Amino acid sequence: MEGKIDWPRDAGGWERTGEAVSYEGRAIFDYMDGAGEVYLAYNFKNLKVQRFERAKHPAIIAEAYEMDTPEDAFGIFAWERQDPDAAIGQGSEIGGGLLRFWKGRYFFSIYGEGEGEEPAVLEIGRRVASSIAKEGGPPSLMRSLPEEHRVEGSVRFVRSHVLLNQRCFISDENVLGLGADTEAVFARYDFGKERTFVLLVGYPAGERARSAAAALGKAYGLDRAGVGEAGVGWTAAWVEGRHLVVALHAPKAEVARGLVEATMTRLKEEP
Amino acid sequence: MRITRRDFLKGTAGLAAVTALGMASKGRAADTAKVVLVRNRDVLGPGGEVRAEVLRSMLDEGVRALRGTDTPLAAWQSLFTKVDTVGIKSNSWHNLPTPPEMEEAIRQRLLDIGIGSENIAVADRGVLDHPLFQKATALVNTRPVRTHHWAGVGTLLKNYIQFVPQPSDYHPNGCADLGRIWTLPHVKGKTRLNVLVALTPQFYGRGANFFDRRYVWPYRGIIAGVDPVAVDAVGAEILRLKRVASFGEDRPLDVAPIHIAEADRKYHLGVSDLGRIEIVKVGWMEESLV
Repeated sequence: MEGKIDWPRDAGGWERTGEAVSYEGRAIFDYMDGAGEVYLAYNFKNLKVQRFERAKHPAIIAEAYEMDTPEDAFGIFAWERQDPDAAIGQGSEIGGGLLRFWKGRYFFSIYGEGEGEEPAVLEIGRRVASSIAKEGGPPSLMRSLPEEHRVEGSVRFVRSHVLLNQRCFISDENVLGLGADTEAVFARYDFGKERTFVLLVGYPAGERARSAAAALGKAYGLDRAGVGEAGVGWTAAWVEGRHLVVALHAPKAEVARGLVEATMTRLKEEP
Repeated sequence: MRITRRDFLKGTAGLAAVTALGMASKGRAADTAKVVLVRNRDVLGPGGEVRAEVLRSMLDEGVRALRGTDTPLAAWQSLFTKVDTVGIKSNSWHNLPTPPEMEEAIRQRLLDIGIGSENIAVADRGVLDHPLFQKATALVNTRPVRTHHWAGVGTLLKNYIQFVPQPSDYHPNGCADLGRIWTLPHVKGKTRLNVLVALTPQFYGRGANFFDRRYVWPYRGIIAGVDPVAVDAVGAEILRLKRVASFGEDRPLDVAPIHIAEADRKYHLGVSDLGRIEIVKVGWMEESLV
């Protein structure tokens, strides 16, 4: 179903009304103002908004976001994840009347404006998800993040340094050179009270990775071995091929080094 | 190479919120500020509808207390003259817009002091190209207070984002430089009154789809002031205290609302230090939080 969403005609008493309204590229700002920037940061292509109505009940608003890749669809889903799983699509959550899920290159947000609409919201979600035949995988780099001490549900994928800074602050400036052609995955690790992170960035070429490592090393005052203490905790940053691996806010230098080493080992084991 | 966001590097996002609001300022615009909090239990009906006449009286009481006059009309006359051309900057975000009843209450009071209807306009999107806003001699700024993905809190300072051609230019670093908008020639010095609507604020939310009805509560208040920074600081503090009351902690937002303190420290637009803001309370104050 590339480009066309197969919305159900009705669900739980709510009926599809009118044609879906479509927003291409930066026209997403016409629909949601500044929030559109988040979707654009994940290579957003098109949004379709479909309304469902039922007499004497608030409407249900269903949004289908077509992204450039399944990784991007996963990225926008995981970025905001906070609620229990709804077992729809390739990853989902429901809370406060809002169902969010992703499948293939699509991310869906289905919102019931009133109380008691959750069954209909879920039915719309299940039916539209089943109409999408082609699945896709989350970013393969995620498999290289160490599992020991990792906080469950904390893995995120970004291409934008602005978004990265919101969850894992690096610098006001884009010292890592993130952009539409890079992939960055990161997760939080529990070593007591510290908020330790492992960040793994994939660049198109090794030169970009080495340049980013140099910039980070300068900003954080890392030594020749790529280790240093900056702000809260220790930082370590090494390059492996076209990848940069960074451990941030570790309680000890050896913890930072250990996390980077573990990530690089897993990275080398990936096919 | 800069690495700032020192609050984050200190390791506690909760501290960031406190720092954002409580920062002592250098080169500040004023030593103190006055903000009026007005609440009325009856402003919302049983279905959540806004009772226009109650809201109008809240606005009157708020402006009167702000200006220290005997009557609301005298208070409005101390802020505007009948030769003013006034743009009322509203907020049309569909999930939680400025109530039309608030827009109309402001418009009516401007009419009452003799400003012609042809010299008053209400708008949100498109104000940059709006003929009346382009020639406005005065602005009234009004919007609901809520959490916001890019700015931490959707504030009066944030409400002027439509006065720039490329709003996303202000998104980096938690929208820290929103205060700069207020220094632009078509905005600078024109805002006479700020009214932050806190009838049903949203105190928490994550991500771009930031409306979440679980985190909206009927506070039934408005916060008025001449100083937008002070009004925003109080509004953000109410949201923070509600998070503490609801979660048992100040659960971190996507970003801390650092733009409020920056508007004070860097752009000298007003007072962000809660210790230097006088909050005048009018009306029903049960669970007012501040």
